[in-house]
Amino acid sequence: MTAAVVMTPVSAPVADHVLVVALDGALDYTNAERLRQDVEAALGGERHELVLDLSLLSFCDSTGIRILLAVRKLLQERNGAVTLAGLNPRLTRIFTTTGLINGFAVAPGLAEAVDMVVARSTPR
Amino acid sequence: MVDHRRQWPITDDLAALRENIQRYAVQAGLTGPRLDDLVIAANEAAINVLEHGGGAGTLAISCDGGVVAVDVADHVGALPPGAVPGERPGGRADRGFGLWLMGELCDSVTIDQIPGQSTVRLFMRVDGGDPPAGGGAASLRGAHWA
Repeated sequence: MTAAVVMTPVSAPVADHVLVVALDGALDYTNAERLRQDVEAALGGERHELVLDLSLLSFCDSTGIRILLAVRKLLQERNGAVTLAGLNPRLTRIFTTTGLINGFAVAPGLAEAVDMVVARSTPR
Repeated sequence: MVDHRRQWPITDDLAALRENIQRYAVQAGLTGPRLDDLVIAANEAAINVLEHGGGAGTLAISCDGGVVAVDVADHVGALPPGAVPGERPGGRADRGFGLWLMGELCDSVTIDQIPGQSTVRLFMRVDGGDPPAGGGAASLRGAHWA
């Protein structure tokens, strides 16, 4: 069976400028470009914070990382960021080995990730 | 002890290819992060075949003397020996990034080139999980985000 990755919106107590989605499956060369289009469509023109729950993502290759970097760049241009939650050991490995883990905010779980984004976005 | 060689065509069904590699490597005795590393590296080699190596090729895996070897061959032969970068390439959109990553993840990576076929060979020692006392075989890891 060809790898599939499914993007599901997650309801979370966050402001309108934050998009929270969960990825389920395997993000690889065969589906990364389509996912990038889906994520960018879901972000629309206004949202500038993205929280990705990766706890159900079993695999991510360099093509997947490439599209996450493309989304990160888009949100940086909007003064936002990408926050990753729930990386399994294999995902942690590829993100750490490539050094790219430092390009993202990383949280152990979705709740912590949402807290990080809310804290970052709320004027104090 | 697994020592028979298995071979599969490289198609866009990378998920099935990863499962085949993982199943073989587990039977050969690889576990934990080193198992993950080999699967990630082999997947990157297969991507390179799909993206730069003419879109078709074969992946063969074998185990000999406690070393799992993955041979990833294309039908183009444009990739020369010595193409594995020692440092992470600046651009992430080229073939060099995947090759660099393979070098980081595996114990060693070589490239054989004959007319019409380049073969990337990935090697992973089954007993390499524990660093040797002298530390001489430990590879340098941990690239930094620039």
